[in-house]
Amino acid sequence: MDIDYQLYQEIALVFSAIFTAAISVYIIRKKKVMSWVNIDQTIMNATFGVVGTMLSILLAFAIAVVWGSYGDARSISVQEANALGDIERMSRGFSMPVRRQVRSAVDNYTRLVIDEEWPSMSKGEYSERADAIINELWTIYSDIPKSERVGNSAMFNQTLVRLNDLTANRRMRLLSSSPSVPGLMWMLLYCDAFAIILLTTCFRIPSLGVHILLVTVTAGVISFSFYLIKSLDTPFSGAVQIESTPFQVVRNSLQQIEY
Amino acid sequence: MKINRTLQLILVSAFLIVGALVASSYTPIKAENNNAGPIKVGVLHSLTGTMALSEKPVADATLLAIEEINNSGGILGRTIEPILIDGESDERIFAKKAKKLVKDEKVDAVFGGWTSASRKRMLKVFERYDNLLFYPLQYEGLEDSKNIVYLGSTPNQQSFPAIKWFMENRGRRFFLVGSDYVYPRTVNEILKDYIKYLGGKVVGEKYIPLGSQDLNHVIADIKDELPDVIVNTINGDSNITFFKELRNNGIYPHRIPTLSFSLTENEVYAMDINNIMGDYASWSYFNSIDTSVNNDFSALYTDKYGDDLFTSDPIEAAYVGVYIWRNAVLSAGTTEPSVVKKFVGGQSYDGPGGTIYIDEINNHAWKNAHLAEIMPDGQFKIVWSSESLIRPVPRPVFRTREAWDTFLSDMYMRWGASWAKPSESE
Repeated sequence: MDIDYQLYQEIALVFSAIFTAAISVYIIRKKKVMSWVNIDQTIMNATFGVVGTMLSILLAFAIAVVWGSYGDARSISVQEANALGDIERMSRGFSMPVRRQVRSAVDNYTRLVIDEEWPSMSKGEYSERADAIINELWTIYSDIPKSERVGNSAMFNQTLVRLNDLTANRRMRLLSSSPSVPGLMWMLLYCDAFAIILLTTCFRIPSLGVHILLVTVTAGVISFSFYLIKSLDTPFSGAVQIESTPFQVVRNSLQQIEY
Repeated sequence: MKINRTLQLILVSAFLIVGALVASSYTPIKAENNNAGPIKVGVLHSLTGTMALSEKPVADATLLAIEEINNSGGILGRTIEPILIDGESDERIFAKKAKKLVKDEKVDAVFGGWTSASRKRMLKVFERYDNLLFYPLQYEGLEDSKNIVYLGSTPNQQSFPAIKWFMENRGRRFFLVGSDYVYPRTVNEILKDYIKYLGGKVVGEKYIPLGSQDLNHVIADIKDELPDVIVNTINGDSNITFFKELRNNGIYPHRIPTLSFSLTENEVYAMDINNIMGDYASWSYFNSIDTSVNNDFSALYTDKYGDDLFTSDPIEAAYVGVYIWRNAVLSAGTTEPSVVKKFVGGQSYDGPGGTIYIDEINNHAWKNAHLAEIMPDGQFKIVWSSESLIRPVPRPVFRTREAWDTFLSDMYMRWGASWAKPSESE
C-alpha cells in the first residue's frame, strides 16, 4: 500500500465521518426522533458542556504529546545519521583495511535503512540486516590491531563514543516508530467524540441546513484532530512521515576509496 | 420515503468514492500459464568420483525442495521437472554438462556445483547464456556474478569468526592444510592476511592433490611446527586419511585441534569417530541446531533418504536455494532466467538454519556463523554462534580488487589454465 493510497484512504475516512454525521442529522430530523426522546434542552446543554470540555482537554493533551514525540523522533533520526557520518569520516584516520570495511558497512547500512527499514517502521518492524551491520561496525573496531589503536587512540576513543551514540539512537528510533497513544486513550476519545456528535444531533435547531452545518463542522473538526493525532503518533508513515533524508545525505558523502 | 435531490447527490458521491477506493486496492493475480508445460531445471552434482560422498546428499536436498513445491501446486501453475546430471567430480565435465543443460535442455535454472574449480568453469557458461546457477557451497569469495546466486558462506562469514575464536581461546599459531585447488589456496591466502592483521602467525602451509591419500609430508611438517591450531580445507575422501594419520602420529585435539571448513556431518559419519572427535568445524548451519523448523527439516530429510544421512550446511543451502529461486520467479512473474536474476537480490527465506537474505549488490547470502565441536556420537555441538546475520563480503578488505584478481589469474595460468593444480603425471 503506497503512501498516496494510504493518504487518500485516511482522508476518505474523515469525509465518511462527516458524511455519516450529516446523514444522521437528516434522518433524525425527518423521522422526528427527538419528539420521542423528550430531553430538556437545559440539561442537554449542560451535558454538552461537560463532555465537550472533556474532549477538548483530551484532544489538546494527546496532540501535545504526539507532537512532542514526533519532534523527538525526527531529532533522533538526524542524530543517528550524524553519528554514522562521523564514524565514516573518522575512519579516514585509520589503515586501508579499516577504511574499506567501515565505508562498505556504512554504505550498506544507509541503503538498508532507507530501502528496507524505513518502509517497515510504519508496521513497527525493523531490518534484521541493518541491525547486523551495527554488530559488524563494533566488530571492525574491536578487531583493530593494538598497535593501530594505540597510535590512533584519540580517533579510536571518539569513534567508540559515536558508535555508542549510533547504537543508542537507532534503538530509540525503532522504539519511536510504534504508536505511543494507548488503546484505552483512543477508546475514551472515540466515546467522547461519539457523545458530542450525538448531543449536537439532538439540538432543537429550527433550520435543517444550519443543523447539518453545525454537526458536520463538529464531526469534521473532531475527525481531523483524530487524523492529526494518528499521523503524528506514527511518525514514519502517513501524511507527515519523517523522511530518511539524513541517511541519504550520509550516503552521498561517503569517501571514494579503492577497493 | 422520498429522497430529495440533494440527498440523492450525496449518496451517489459517497458510493463513487467508496467504489474508487476499493478498486484502487485491487491487485490482479499473476496469470497462470497452464499450457506451457513443466518448468525444467538442472540439478548438477558429482554422483560418482571423489566428491560423490559429499555431493549426492546435496543433490537429494535440491530434489526434496522441488518435490515439496510441486506437491503444493508448483510455480505459476506449472510443475518443476528436475534434470539430474552427474558432474563426475571433474571441473571440465561440470562445465560441459552445464552447457548441455542451459543450451540444449534450455533449463530455467541450475542448482549445483561443489568445488570452486567446477563453479569457475561453469561461471563462463552461465554468463554466456545468461542463465542462473544456484551454488550451495561455502567458497573462497572474490566473485560476484549476477548469474550465480551464492548460497554458501564467504570467508568473512565462515572462516574469520572461527579463526578469531581460536585466537581468543586456543592460541595464535596456525598451520594451514588443504586440497590443491582454487578454494583452499585462495582461502588460505585470505586467512594469512587476516591472521596477520589480528596479530597471529601462520607457521606452515601445505597442499595435497584432490583425492590424494598421501599425507605423510603434511603430517611430518605439522609435527615439526607444533601449531596451536590446524586449519583444514581438504575436500573429499582425503579427509578420512588425513584425520587417521593425525591420530596415528599422536596429534590430538586437546593439544592441537583441527578446524575444518569443508567437513560436514555426513563426512564425519563416514569416518572412524575416534579419529575426529574433539576437533572443530565452522558452518552457517549444523544439523544439531535445536529449533522446531530445523528438527522438522531434519526428520523430513532422513525419512526420505535414510537414517544414516544427516542434514548439513550445503544440504540446507541447496534446499533453501530452490525456495529462493521460487520466490524470485513469483516476483518476476516468469521463469525466464534473464528476468528472474533481476528479482533474486533482496529475496529472503526462513529456512531451517534461520532467515537468509540474498544481497542486492553482490548476490551472496547473509548468513549466521556457528563453530562446533565434534562429539563422540558424531554430532556437532555448537560452542559459539554469531549474534546476528553476517553480511557477505566476497572481496576481503586486506587487498584491492585488482590485487586479488591478479592473484587468481596468476594461479590459473601457473596451473596451465586450470583451477586445480595438475597432478604430476599431467
